[in-house]
Amino acid sequence: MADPVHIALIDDDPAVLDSLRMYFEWQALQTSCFNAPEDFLAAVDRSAQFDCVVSDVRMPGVSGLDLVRHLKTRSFTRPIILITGHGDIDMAVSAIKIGAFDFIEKPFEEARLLASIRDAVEQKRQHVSDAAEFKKLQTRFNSLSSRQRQVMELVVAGLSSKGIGIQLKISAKTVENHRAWVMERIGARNLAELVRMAMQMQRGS
Amino acid sequence: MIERNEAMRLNRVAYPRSLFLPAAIVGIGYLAGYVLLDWISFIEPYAPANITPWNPHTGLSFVLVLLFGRRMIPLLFIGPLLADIVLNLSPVPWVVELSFVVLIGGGYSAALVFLLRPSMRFDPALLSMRDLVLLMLVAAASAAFVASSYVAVATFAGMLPIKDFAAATLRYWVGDMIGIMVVTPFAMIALTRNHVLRISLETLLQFAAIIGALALVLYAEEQRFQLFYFLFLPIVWMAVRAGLEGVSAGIVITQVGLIVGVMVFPAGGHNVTGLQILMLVLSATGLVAGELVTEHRRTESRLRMHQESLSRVTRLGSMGELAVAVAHELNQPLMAARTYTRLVEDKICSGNADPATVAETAKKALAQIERAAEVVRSLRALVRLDRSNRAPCSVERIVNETLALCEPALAQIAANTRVVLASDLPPVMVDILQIEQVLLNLLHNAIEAIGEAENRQGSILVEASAAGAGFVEVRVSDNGPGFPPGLLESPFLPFSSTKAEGLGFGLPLCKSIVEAHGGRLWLDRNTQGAAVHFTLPVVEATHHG
Repeated sequence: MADPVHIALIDDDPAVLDSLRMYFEWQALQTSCFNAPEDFLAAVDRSAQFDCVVSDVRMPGVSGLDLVRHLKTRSFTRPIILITGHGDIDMAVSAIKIGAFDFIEKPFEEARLLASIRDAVEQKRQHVSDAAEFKKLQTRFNSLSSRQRQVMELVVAGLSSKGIGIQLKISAKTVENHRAWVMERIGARNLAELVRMAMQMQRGS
Repeated sequence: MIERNEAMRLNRVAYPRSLFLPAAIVGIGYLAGYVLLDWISFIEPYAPANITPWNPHTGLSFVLVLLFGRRMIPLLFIGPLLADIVLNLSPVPWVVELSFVVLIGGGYSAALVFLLRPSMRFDPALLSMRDLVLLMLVAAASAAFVASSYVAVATFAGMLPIKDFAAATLRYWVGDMIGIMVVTPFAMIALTRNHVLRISLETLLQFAAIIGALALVLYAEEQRFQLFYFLFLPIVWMAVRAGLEGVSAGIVITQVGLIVGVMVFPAGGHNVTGLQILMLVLSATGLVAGELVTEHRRTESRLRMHQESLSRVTRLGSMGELAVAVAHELNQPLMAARTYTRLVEDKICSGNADPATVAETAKKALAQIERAAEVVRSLRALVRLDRSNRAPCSVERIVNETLALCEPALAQIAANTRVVLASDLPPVMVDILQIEQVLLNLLHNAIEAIGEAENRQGSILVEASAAGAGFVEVRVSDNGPGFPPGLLESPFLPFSSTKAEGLGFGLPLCKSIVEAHGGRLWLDRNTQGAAVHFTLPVVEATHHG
């Protein structure tokens, strides 16, 4: 890479911060560490440039979700990836809805975070702006059975498999099954992508 | 078992063992007591119909059925018959005698069956004003029925002139009513509480005051009615200072003293029934005042107990919150250790690793694993699975204390809670805080399960019985939706909770605590709803093992 990618890493846990910094640097990513969102915002104010922000969710003071909201109001355009030690689906969905690029649960496969950072930096984020892309997505969506569509809507609404099972009066295991089919047919690799695609479908229709 | 179950219904008081005596002993004791009290109280009879001004044996009948259950009802017929045969105080034709027995036995049996109906929610331990007032009302109504029908039969049999009907009925009613009011609360409190009245300087002074007031009343031959009010002073004193427990003893002493006094110092012109009506007013006033004080104190002590236990409950009661905190605490070092280790792997695989920096990174990973181990250690310390705090403890106490903690939650879901404890339970050798936490957890699970199934009457059953070689088995079951199939397969994996907010630390932790005590914990697959069983070692078993 000619131009080193610059990552802002925010986590209140020094060990997590240190290990990720070492790993990123080993992967030839330039890393700036912040142990509080406030420090990061101060750096942004000093017009520091980052290609991507990786932030913890649960931190004293400003939470990762608050940080995303705050950055959006300041028209900060860089992609933000949230990582959390106690994530639930509800939180992941709201993170994506308020504009986070991705949401990853700790402990995660380092490769998963790296892939997400790469996608984010290259802005591979699928803006389904052109009609062809949208049509492709719609075809995939139409291939879902009505039950699968129901499950997908509830997943995107932030419900857990158990919660969906109770609502649809089917077992959680069946829900998981439907969910796997939905991901497969829509072509989403993870929940964050699924939520993003569903939002684009809503916007498009 | 069924009968005891009835007596324990909705009860939070640990009954002393005397209540679990064999039925034969209770029955013989009752009959002997009935005949004896009838004989002692046979004063100033309204001859020849045998109407006496106070009938403590009627109060005994109430105690018998209220505390020992409906199966005792046949004795309510045998008692009066036996007393009349044995004492033979004033023989009447056998048809009349049988009518009397049927009226007395039938009238009070019907009243007591009514009072014990589950829908009445009457607690024989008289813990609330509602229980006391209910007892008084049922006593007044049934005594009125028995009195009027008894006098009617006596009149019909030619034993009483018709003009005396009202006076005789009143006399009979007052006699039975005072017998119930004096004997029943006193005996029920003595039998359902572990203590009756602690003798202190103050109680001695109170007794002295009662005797003083009695002396004054009896001395003032002509003004006994006017001076009777002096007896209110020691009674109110006892009610205010010692509650229902104290005042019920004071009322017994006053009544016995009054009867003895009237017999020793008879005064012309004043009938005993007149004094007994005043005594009835005195008893009612004393009991109500005493109950007010007892109720108030109970509320206060429960509040205090709640506050004391609050830290205990918050420490482990909300398993969901604890689990989230633990998950976070473990996740951070695990994440860091994982990343360091991945780095070590990548560097070594790349072939151009500097051994010193790799060793440094591996060291950092180890430090994070140690940090995670520390979290686990502190979690274990939180539950303190050591033996130092074990002591002999009654299962009743564990169950009652835990139910008291759950009371607000139970009230919220309006579940029908029943406790069925076998009568021969030996004390168990446990750390009471830990076992209460286990039970608390199981009860909270049951409460939440019932809360989920909204549209039917929830019921929770807590049972305990001996479980063979040196163990007591405790069982908590509910009629909620039951365990989902997935949970039954691996119930003790953390995070396999069925609850939306909880992460399922509850059952594994309960199992750890019970197993640390040498017991077992398992789920029941066969019942409707959910049932969790666990065993606790009895004291003897712990000594041998």
